[in-house]
Amino acid sequence: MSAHVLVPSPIFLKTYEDHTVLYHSGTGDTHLLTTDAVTILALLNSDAKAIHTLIAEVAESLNYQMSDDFSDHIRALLFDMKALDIVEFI
Amino acid sequence: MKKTISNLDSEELRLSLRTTGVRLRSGPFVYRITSPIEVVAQGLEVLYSDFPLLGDDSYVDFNVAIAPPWFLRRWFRPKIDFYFDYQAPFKSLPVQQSFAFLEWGMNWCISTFANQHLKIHAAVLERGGKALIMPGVPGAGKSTLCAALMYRGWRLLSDEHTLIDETNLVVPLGRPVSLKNKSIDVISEFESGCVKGPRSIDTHKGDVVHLKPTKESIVRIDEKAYPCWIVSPRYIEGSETKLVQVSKSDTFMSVAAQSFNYNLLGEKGFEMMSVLVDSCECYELSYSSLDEAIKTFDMLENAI
Repeated sequence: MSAHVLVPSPIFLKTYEDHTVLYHSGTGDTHLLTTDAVTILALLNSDAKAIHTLIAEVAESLNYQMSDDFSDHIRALLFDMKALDIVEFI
Repeated sequence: MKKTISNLDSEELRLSLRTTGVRLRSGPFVYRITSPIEVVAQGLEVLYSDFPLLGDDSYVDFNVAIAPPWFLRRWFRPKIDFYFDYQAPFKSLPVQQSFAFLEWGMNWCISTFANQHLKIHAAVLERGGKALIMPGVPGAGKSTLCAALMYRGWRLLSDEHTLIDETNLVVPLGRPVSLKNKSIDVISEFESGCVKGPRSIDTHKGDVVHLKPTKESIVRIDEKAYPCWIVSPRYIEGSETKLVQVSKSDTFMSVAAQSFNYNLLGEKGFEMMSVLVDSCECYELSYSSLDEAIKTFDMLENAI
């Protein structure tokens, strides 16, 4: 995996009680996001970030204990988001 | 006084259909309909008698016709085509299915064009200014339920298309309700006075009949309604009536999937869908008894 991740196209979010709906202006697709994915997008709001920095910030933001499992979970989530063109690795 | 189809006598209607066309208004849209087919005239006479009729100089949104495709087809296994602006976008059908074909073609015009509205494949009715939107996959029983509600005090806005304008109001169309197969007998028994149009037999959907909208649905055709409930009905034989609240996020996704133009509208569609779902309570309804289901909707309406 490359070292940095960013959000390449404008996205629009609508948050409900349980999930957040995302509209991706680049692809025209709509997705249902979990809290972890929304947190990633919020942290990537302004700039590209190094992946290890992003994972640490997600853990802190959600009050999770940093661990290999958590790191793997966020990396897998980033791959899923990349497959949907929501994020891009540079 | 507004002119309606019923102001034309039988001869005038048929002559107009064969020559200049009949210009009828359904909500915000004007159709110009031409056809030499008798069953089309009969269907319009029965089902559209209260619809506003416009003059020959009025603007037309959709120019449609039901007519034989070519000369020999008038006699040899007679078939008909649906024409939109003189083009035939569909395969020919047996002449006996002419009226259903006209209705499907009129629906297609709205599904394909009219993108100034957010369009959802859903029945929609109104009571007390509040709109009940019922999306549903084919066979879920939404048209049957829609017809039953129409006969029990709810105003029909549309059986097929829920149109949302930019101010988040539902725009009525008021066109006839389409019933298929068993639903035809169910509603005939439920409302003995229901007015049915020509029966189209052995269509790709089975037997199809259209119901005349109630007078109130046509008289108040220009009154929009505020969306208050999104309820996905599902008919399950022998089941108890059960109304379950569902999350707005799931409702957003399922209604977007059943929209004709959510993707086409892009960011605007997302914004309109967000406002729509925000304004509604969202439920799933399983039912087998129309009376029980209607009671459930009455309770919903009284709860607000």
